[in-house]
Amino acid sequence: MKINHYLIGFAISSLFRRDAKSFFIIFIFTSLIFLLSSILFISNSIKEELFITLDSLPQITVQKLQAGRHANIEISRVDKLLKLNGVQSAIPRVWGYYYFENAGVNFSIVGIDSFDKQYKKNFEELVENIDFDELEKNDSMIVGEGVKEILSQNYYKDFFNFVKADGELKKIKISSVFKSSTVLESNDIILMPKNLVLDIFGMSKLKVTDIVLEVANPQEIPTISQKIKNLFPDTRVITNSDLRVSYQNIFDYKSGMFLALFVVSAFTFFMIIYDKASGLSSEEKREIGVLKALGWKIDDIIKIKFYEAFIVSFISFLLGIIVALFFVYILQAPLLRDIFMGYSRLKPAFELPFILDLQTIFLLFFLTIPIYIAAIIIPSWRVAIMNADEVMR
Amino acid sequence: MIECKNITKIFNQNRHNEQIALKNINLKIKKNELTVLRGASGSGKSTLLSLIAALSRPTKGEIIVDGKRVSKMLENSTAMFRRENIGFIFQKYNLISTLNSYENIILPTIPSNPNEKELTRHVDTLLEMFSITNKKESLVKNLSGGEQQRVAIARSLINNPKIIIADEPTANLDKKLSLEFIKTMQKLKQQNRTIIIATHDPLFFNLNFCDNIIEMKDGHI
Amino acid sequence: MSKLSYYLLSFIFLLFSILTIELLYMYSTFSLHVKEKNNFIAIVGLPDLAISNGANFIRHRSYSDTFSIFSNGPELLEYFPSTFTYSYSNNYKNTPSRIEFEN
Repeated sequence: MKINHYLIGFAISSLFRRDAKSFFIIFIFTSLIFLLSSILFISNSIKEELFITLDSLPQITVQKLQAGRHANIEISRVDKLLKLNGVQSAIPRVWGYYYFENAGVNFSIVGIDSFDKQYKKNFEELVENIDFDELEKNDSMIVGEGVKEILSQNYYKDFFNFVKADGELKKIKISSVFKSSTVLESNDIILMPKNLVLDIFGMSKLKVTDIVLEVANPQEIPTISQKIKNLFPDTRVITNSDLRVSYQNIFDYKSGMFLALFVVSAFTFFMIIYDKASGLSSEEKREIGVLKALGWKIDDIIKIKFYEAFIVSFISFLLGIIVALFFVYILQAPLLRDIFMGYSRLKPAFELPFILDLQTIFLLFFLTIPIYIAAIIIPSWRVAIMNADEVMR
Repeated sequence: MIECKNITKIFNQNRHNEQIALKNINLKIKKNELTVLRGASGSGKSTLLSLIAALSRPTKGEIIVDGKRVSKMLENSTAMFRRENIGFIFQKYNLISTLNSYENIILPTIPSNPNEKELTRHVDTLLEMFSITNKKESLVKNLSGGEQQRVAIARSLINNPKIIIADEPTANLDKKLSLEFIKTMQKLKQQNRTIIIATHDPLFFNLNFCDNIIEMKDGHI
Repeated sequence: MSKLSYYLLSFIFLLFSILTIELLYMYSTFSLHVKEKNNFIAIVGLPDLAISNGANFIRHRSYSDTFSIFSNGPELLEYFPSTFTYSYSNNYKNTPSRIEFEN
């Protein structure tokens, strides 16, 4: 079929003839697309952040439950766990939250065994100017950027006095800071030797927070976790896939909330559009009548309306996406990202990673454009099927 | 050429505001005739014209134009029929005021995707014929009444229709312009077109090139 | 083709080029630092992002919260919309909330 460029030209000129209305609709449509896609882009970026590190998380974590609550686990269980078939390594961990009252912030304190050789290379990439000997000898720690900032706001430039469980102060030197590329993960982390952590939290040396297992064959994870359950009925076994579920849960939950917002805003938008479009002005009705009287078929009129609606919605869509990309990734989403970090006192100054999520874009495309086009075409079609002389009277 | 058999048109049938516009009309118009439909406003002239132009359908009866039963045609065929056979000059011209003269004139040809060169040539001839070449790019709303009417006539001729229907063409014109319009109609008649004019303007009643005058009153002939 | 159609097409083309330039720019400048992040996580071994750690909101919830995280219900209070607009009972929480702290 040959494209009738007169028809397209007519559609374009009608858009320009009703410039105020067209620009208003483009403005509203662009704002809607912009808002929705910004929110989806931000949440996709954060989700992506979570999922790229998922495989580095422990395969199995064993925690002890006492009276339905998490309790410290005996270090003696490590050997028993190591005897299970398929378990490659079992590492006891000590970690916890330290509530820093002055700022109302929870730090995550993580103890590591020693600054092992095998870690050395990793550390060099993560921390600037690291001095391992210094870390080993003195009481010192590596902190995240956020921790460093909060502490210096409270006049702790080089060291921090932790309040121990018995009320005494423990002075620990800040030896270095994690690189900013990992800020989303490391912002509130304090890394120090395990014995210091035990000291600060006042924990027994015979107990640890949890035990992390490495498994030779990832497919055996469910079997092994079942065995652990049988061996220690008082434990909770968290597998890597459970963590994936928990990530997914948070985002399903948040996405659900945004979907609810989306539905409401989209619905409002289409109410406005439908209201504007179905109340075709008498001028527009007359125009359709004239065109019919001049020998235009109904489908010619609908084609015109389709072109008009498509041009408007497509331009708005492109504009919305362009502005949203710019806003989210180049301006780093001022205001909007605070929604996602609404209750973080230790706001990490991280860069939202750029992920082009085609699925989101297609979703937005197919959720908005066809509905808009329908909202425009249906009322025009209703006018167009009337007898031409009725429209003209 | 045009034949109306027992036409009745009732608006809002079976409702409280039912209104009988035409009653049992029989009419025959031969090819290349100029017919004047005469009558007061509300006598059914416009309704009859819109039935002939297939803009609406009769409640009863049959209309045959150029051998085609217009009153039984499907919606899209009536559109094609109008596009190919009928040039309509409306009472208020029904131009699209925010388009310029050229765009208004080509409106009836747009759906058939015309050849650009031929179309431009054709429009230029028409513009010249009605001496509005200098108004080609002007928006219609900025034209005077007479100019607007000439644009409307040019538009009705763009598809070379065999039948021209004019509904109260001189209602908004002064005498000089009305006489000019009559001259134009004479010219068109010489081009072998069938013309129907509905009017209550006395200027039309004593035309020497007029073939029939049909008097209408309350939906009757 | 009429002037308006020409302008419009050029405008759409312009939009497409802006979009392409924007995407190319982002592809070339943004880096996920996947390796560094994975190294870090390998050492620390804790999940979640450091975007919620004020007072009664803790990170690593899947490790710390015994039940709620694996059976996420809308009645949970630790998520955005509810806590963002409405602070629940003061007696119920024993840590000072963010809102309280600011008073």
